[in-house]
Amino acid sequence: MNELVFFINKVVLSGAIIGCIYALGAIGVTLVFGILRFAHFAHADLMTSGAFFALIFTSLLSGFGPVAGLPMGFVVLPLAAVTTALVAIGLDRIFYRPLRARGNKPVLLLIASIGVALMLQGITRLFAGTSIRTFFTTERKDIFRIDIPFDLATREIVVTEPQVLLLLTTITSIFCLHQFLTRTRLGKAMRAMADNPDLALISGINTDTVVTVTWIIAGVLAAAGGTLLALDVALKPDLSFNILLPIFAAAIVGGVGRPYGAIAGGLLVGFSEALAVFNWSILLRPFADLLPAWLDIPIRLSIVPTEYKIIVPFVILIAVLLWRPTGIFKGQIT
Amino acid sequence: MLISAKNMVAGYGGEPVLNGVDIELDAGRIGVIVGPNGAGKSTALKSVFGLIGLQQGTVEFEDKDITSVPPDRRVGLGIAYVPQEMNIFQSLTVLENLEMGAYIRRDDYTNATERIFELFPPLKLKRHAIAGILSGGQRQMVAIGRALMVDPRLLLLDEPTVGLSPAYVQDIIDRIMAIAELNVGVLVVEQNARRALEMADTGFVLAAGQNLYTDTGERLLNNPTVAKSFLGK
Repeated sequence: MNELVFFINKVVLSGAIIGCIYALGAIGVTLVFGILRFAHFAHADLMTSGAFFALIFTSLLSGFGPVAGLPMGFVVLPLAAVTTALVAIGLDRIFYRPLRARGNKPVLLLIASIGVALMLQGITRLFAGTSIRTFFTTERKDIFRIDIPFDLATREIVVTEPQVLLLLTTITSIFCLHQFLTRTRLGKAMRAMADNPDLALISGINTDTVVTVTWIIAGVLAAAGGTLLALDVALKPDLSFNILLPIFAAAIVGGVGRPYGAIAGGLLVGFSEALAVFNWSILLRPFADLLPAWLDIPIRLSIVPTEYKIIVPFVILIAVLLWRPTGIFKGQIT
Repeated sequence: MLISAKNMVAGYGGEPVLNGVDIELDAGRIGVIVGPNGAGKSTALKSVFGLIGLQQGTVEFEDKDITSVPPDRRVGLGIAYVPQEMNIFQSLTVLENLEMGAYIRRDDYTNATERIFELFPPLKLKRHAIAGILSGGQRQMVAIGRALMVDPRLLLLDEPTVGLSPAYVQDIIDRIMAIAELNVGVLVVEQNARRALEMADTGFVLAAGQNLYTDTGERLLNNPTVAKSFLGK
């Protein structure tokens, strides 16, 4: 039983947690691509910026003490989300919109977004330095240990408070996004513009409004993803840049421009990583008696070592581009 | 006069495709633009809608000069346009397509939706279906329905029957005539000149970017030169 608990902790929970982070980032990437037709390379750094805004608000407001027992970093998330959304709109107004207005090709905006990514990283390092920071200086990170009601299980399922908040926030965000996209006039206009921009224009859909709303959603979700990731691990200037590749892999696996695909893609990449680095010999050990004697179970038996986890999204990305370039949900790249 | 486009000179950069085309139509009438490939039929329609800027000439809608009004604002004035291709939102439902057609309307447009379901009964049954999975004829109905959501007084259709099965072709033509009976002016570009002239109040025969003949549909059908050159007799 302990082996199963270990599997739940290391694969089911870990995969879901990192999968949710990827999903929150990938939804933003896929929405921006759907509306503006370029891969937004600065998206991960928008996530990091969101986390730093949360840290700033946390240090400003930590004097008020804990609110409803929640970590301050989570309580200030709405403030960080609004700030990040404003930054996203600002980036669009200053860098991307002038380029679009001059009729440049999307690839030029992609290159510009790499510049924006470097700029955002530079600004973060300029103001916050390169050190690793934590949200939990005055508070304690609550850890929940859930006992399994079986005699054989002596170990517990371990999940931290930020991880629970991350799962709940992701589910809530996806529900709200779904309601917005399918129930509201503006949400439908967003889908319409992603589907057929020319027809949207001649239907009188205000494309500027749709673009602004897209950046707001992308910014809010980026702030949520970045902050919750920083709460789960720690905050550093390259926090999210390191997960840019899995986020892009998630968006492409799900079908570029498809928000639900991005969620599925995020979870797929997350679980694949967790399964790939999992030490399978732990699950094999209970069956050691059944195996032939000459077969020794090695101490570590994982598909890739933890430090090479980054190859998992690479492999997924290459496999998808080779065999199903439109992704699971038939995206806009053919 | 509902629409009066005079001396339109327009193109896509380089040599103009239209060299002084006139298009005029009254309310509730059907005008068709016919002619050989490359005559500038679709370009003439796009120029009326403002998708292509005019180098020369004027467009008047209900006696107001709209030559410099951008296409998305012409929708608000009462002109709707259905492109030949990519004319629906494939990933949206039929009802959502219609809602997007009514995007600029801030009033209650239930009546417009009902009228479109009366005009195209198959759409009512499939209103929650994703538009992209419908048959070609039904997609064309969605496309025309989307355009009709603004209650336009002028409807521009670019080859609405191209690629449809014969049963649907007649169906769409019947619908176009029903739309004109609602006092909507309909301007249609058609590949099949005979079929088009049969439903036309006015026919515009274009060749090499110029008006060759402009007359009633019936008279053009009976004109021996037109018949010989364009109707394949």
